[in-house]
Amino acid sequence: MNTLVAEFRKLVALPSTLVAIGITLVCSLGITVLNVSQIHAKLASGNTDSMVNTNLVNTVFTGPSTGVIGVIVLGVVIVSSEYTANTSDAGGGRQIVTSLTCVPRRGQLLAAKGFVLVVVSGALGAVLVPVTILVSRAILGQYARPLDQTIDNVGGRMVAGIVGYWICAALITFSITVLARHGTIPLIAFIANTSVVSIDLLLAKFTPIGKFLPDVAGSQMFSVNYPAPHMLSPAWGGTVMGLWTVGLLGVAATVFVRRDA
Amino acid sequence: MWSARSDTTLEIVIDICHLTKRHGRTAAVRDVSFTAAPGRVTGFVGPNGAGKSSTLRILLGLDSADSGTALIDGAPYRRLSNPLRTVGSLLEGSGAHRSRRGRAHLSWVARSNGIPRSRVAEVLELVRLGDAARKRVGGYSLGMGQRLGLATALLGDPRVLVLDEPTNGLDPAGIRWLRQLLKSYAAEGRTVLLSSHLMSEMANTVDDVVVINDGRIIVHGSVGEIMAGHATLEDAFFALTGDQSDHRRSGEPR
Repeated sequence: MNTLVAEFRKLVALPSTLVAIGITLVCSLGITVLNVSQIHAKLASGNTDSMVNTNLVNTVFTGPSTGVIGVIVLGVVIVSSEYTANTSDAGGGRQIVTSLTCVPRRGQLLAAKGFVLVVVSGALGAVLVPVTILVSRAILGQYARPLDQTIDNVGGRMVAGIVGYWICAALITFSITVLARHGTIPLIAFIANTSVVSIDLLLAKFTPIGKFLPDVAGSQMFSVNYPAPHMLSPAWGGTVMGLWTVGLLGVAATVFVRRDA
Repeated sequence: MWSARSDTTLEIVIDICHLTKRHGRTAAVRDVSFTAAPGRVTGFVGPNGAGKSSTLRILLGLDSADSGTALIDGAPYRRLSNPLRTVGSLLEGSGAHRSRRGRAHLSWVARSNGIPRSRVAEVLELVRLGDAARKRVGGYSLGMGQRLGLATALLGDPRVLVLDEPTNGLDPAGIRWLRQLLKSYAAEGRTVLLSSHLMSEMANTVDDVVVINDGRIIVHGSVGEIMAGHATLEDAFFALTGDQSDHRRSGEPR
């Protein structure tokens, strides 16, 4: 318990944690509010010509699915902060040395970090995704019926799917950062893959095995009309992403326990 | 003042036995054996790259040895429960993330080992870090970072102190304060092991000396024994090592 509380204190006292939470908020809520407000304005003005291909539900969920960037940053920071060297003027050194002298049982230390990450990223998702839906309904007003119908039918699955997707994405970046012992490369790679060009999505469009990649498989937990053919069911998508997560955590733990600090 | 235990007579020995560690093809530590006894300040002396830090990192469970053992009270560090309440250590400066405040750093360290929060204020007072504890560690001077590292080491009121180059960045008053602190710790029956490449500084602080050069222990004994026939510990060191330590080859061990 002491290790868990210490890891939680360690995480919340880092300014970059606040940045990660801010990114999650802006991406989830901010993007959705902007998109939904535009749709409401068009619907209210009767100018709906440009909305022929607009899917209201997907528009609402664009924010939460982009909000994963925040928990990806969190997954990187919780590990990379251990390996960030202090300035030579301040004596150099890395926090990992203190962490391992405090908790020399490395499996225990890594498990505590992972648990704290799951709790924080899960709590963020569990709060922000329903809030995003409620805010969208409030903005749409009388035009919210298509959204309400979808939420009534598959809303629970979509909310749980996004929260599960956030937790798995955070743990996957966590594992990769444990292996890399550095935050920059995992951060650039994962954020670019999520927001700029999804290599996973491109592979899913052109190869049959692409649907088993973690990002593509995990997206099936909450996606409606995913832009690639022959995708897994939500349950199988979640299972495949979960297996990727467990596998990478296992590799990271094995390496972390055995290597020199 | 908070104390980790009521039994203050417990004496703990550091026992390093036939320790060997390689980094690739380079042997950083070669068959190193020595003990650090309770009630004594033991100086682990040698030039930069002699193998001091590598030995201490293995002792503290940070690195693993290729062969040999490094035990504290008969057990490897990794098997200690709440280790900071037995062993306080200083390696790599403050050991704090640069964007964290000094007090916040000590707070999570204390919690990790079940040390009461009140102890944080006590050690900050002890190392004279004062108001700097509210600053972010990235803005610390070398000496302030070292004081925070010492505060971390003292947090658990440990029976054993393992300090790597503890006087780095300390001003003369800080060095004098540290010397008195270490001597008082040893006088209470605690075990103190500190490494340094500054021979003259060590001569004024330690009771026993372990000299290491090029990964090998050259000699181990009391200060009096080591310095016999020499004006200074530095003279004794160069006599024992054949004055080779200034001319180390590249690719030297840590």
